[in-house]
Amino acid sequence: MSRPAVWGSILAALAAVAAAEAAPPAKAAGQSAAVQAETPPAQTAVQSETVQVETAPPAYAAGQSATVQAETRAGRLQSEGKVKEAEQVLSTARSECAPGEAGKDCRHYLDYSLGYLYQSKAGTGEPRDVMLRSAAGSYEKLLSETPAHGPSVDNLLTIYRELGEPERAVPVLQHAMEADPEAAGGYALQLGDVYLALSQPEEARRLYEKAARESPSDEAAVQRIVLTYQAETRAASAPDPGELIRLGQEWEKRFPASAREAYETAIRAAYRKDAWTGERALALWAAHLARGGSLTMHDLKSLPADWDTQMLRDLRSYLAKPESGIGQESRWATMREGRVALLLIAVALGRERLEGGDLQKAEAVWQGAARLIGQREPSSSALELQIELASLYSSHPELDADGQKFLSTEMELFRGKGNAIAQADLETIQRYHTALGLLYVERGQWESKGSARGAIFQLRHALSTADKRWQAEGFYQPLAKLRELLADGYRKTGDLAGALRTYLNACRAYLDADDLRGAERTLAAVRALTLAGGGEETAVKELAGILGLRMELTKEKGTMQGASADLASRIDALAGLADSDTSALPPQGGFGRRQRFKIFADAAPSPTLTVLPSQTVLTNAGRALDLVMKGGATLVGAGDLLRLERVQKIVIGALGVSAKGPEVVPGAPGAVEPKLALSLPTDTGPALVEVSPEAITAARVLNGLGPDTVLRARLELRIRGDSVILYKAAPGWDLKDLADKLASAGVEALNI
Amino acid sequence: MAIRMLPAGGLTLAILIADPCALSAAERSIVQVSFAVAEPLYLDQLTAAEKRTIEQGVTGLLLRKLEDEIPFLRFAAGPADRKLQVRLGTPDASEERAHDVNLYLLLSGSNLEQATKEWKFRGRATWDDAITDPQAFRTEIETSLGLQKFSSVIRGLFERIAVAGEGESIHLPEWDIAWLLPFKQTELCMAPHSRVRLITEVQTTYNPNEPLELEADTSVFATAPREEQKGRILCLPDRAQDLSLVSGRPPEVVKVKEVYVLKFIKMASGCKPPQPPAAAAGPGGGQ
Repeated sequence: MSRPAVWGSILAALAAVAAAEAAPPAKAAGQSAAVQAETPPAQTAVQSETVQVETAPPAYAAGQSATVQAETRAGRLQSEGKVKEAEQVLSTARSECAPGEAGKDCRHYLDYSLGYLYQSKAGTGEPRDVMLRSAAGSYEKLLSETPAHGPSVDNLLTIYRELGEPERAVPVLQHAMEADPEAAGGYALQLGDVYLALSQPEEARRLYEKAARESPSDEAAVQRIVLTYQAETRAASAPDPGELIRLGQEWEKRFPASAREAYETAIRAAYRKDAWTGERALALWAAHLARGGSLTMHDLKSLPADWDTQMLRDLRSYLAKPESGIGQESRWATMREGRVALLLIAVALGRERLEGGDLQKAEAVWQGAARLIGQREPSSSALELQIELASLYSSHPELDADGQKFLSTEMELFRGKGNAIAQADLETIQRYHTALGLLYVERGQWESKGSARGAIFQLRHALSTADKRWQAEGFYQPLAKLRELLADGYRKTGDLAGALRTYLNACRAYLDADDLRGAERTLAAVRALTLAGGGEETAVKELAGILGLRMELTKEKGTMQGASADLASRIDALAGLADSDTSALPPQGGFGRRQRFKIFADAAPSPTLTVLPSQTVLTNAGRALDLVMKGGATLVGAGDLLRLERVQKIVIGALGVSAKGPEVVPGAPGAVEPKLALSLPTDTGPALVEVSPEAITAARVLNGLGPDTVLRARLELRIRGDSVILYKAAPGWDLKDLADKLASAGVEALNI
Repeated sequence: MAIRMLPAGGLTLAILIADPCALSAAERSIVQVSFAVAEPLYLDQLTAAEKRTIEQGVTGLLLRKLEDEIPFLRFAAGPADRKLQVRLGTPDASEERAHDVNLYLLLSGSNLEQATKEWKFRGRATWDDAITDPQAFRTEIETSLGLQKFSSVIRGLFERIAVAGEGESIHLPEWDIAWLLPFKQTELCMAPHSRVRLITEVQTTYNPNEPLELEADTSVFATAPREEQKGRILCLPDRAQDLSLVSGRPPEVVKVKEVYVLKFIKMASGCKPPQPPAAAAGPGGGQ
């Protein structure tokens, strides 16, 4: 969010007054000097092509000091119950603000102070409505000059609400949206609430949709979109249940509660007049709930109590006794969405019975549901059911004396995989290959006459599908264990070249996943094969070097001393390395950058509260941040998230910046920069990491000026959002050169 | 409590049997929160101290997240009648067989039917990735939990906990009956259109010792109409509900016994008191 310049200079004055407030009142006269001393003197303006260097208006500091003093005095009077006197102090001070632009800060600050005074006193002895209206007047005055001042907008909305006049918020929010496009999503949400309160659901929806576009990971807008449809249902203007079903499907993964609401609203809109759509919504609703763990009788209370449909009666019977299965003529069996729901419910109910030790009942539930799986059922729910059955027969052969049940389930798994391939559903395809591969590993079945019925084929295809997901979604999965298992399979079946290649990638994947023991183990396996004539010496040498360095760093990290001279020089040598294999698929492609990020970050141990980081630590933290900021390194695992947090803390600490730590958000469509991909050990997709603008600017300053200059200039530098303020230049500094360096590092604005 | 269902209208009528957990104060109910690493394979890789550190840290995160996302209940690590146990690993998790590893949520308490939910933590292909750094493992758990929304388990879990044990019934010009909750809107940060289920006890003249019970689903309206009620949450019943049991009865014989939140919509702004001038120096687009 942009920060209007008018407020910037008051912040320094506030800090000074906060300090002065701790002193006895007699010393209040000294406040002005304190503020003046804090306020940087005006500097010579320097211009470069991309960096705008501004000077503060002279004689400004004295005015702002008087403003803050007035507010402080009024606050004291207010706390003593002298509201009229406080109001008088603020009003007088406001009347003394300079006219025009020069007095804008002064007027704003005092208008807010007056509004705050009136609002705080409303309902505490003073006539409530009178006080609220006075407060509204002050905030409105402020907003007439700065329409997007968030706290004033918020306070004004509260007041209008309390006065029972919500419609007055409409122009306020419209102006705020126009004035601050970066915060428009938040204002759109508030404006939508106003329109909903005014019974204008369509206008409210338009605004909520805007809010949802601006903040794709925030559920507040999505939740309210459903409300607008519910409002239409109550008004009997018939929302389109098909649209609600579409929204439910779109939101299932990111906003499960809203997806459920959307389905239930669709059911309510359809169940009386369009049975088919109502039942489709019911099936999707049931599947959605079952995917979240389970669907119980309790959940059925959410459905219309007067809905008397056979499909609902069938569901009640099934939940009561799933071992009996469901009839082939039931809508749950004939409708695709119904089958998906039933399979998911069956998986959960069968597991409950297995957990209770009742193998026969678990088998009956799963077999009953398995019979529903159609010839062309491309769903991960079918996979889960089939895997449960295959695992049951593998671990309880007494249920499958002649092995025919396992074979039959295996066939069904292949058919399901074929359907997923036909649908190009990469996530489900990968799950099928993984599940089958691990099942065959468990049974020691590496190969077979039909090669697909062996672990090698399935694991290889699981990994190649993961590669396709990397290409399609940017989702890197190291999958080190699968790679090691596949390499084991190659070795056991005599394919030593395949084993060598795969162990090398397993070693890289283990290093990416921070499992150094796994990397050591697979590198040893590579060496054993190399001795047997495998080759690949260069790759082995590179991996051994990285592994050695990382192990030494791990040991040194334990001592909290930072890198030794020898280690430091080896780390420095990595800084200038060019990337190789940029076109290769991971774990080979991008491996160097990912490892350099880890090494640089590990060479920058956590700072202490009292000691500034050394130049070496700061250099390595800057290098690590630079690698990820420039978008070249995917973060792999929670270890990398911790590294990012740490190096950010070092960099912002050195510059005296306060910034939120990196924040992980779900990978949402339409996500905007600055975000980094984070790969966690799940198979559903990447998460994203948001880095605060202050941290990004701090990294740019460090990379632009270098650690030596940053450590010398740190007390004079301030960072706000994407702007840098230099309070005082040291003798001999070339301001033009400084500005150019910052500009080339990507800093957008420098104020001196 | 025995409940006799009425055939239609979303209304439940019952003979009341005293509930030992009935709440009496206008305080939000407390839920005890705990976290445990329970996946057998991970237990083998952690020392007791590492496990304890992870569990304490994640419990702290859960408490903060729950307080923020579910402000209509209170959450504490200390003992309470209602318990939310979050476990890494389902009760049936095997140490030998590859499987998805889930975060398993179990809500329990006296007079509360157990309810569970699951969130995916790791897939089958990575379930046994080694724990090489307990701190990174804790971050992985916290990140995974951080990506989940507790709003998605209000239905199914938190809707089962009575948030309060009292309330007031009132008559409004256009409504036979409406209810005031014992909370201000800003206390719960609850926006209009949130949904609340009220269990109401109705005194009858023909059998004064056995009051009837009414279950009514209501929507939160903005604010209460009378000056002295301003700010308290006003609940209006669904128009479709059959309220003949309470229609026309004086408010004093219709007492709210339990309040359940079915759907929570957080206010977009106005939850917190106005910021003092010093704090409001920077702009912001809402809370």
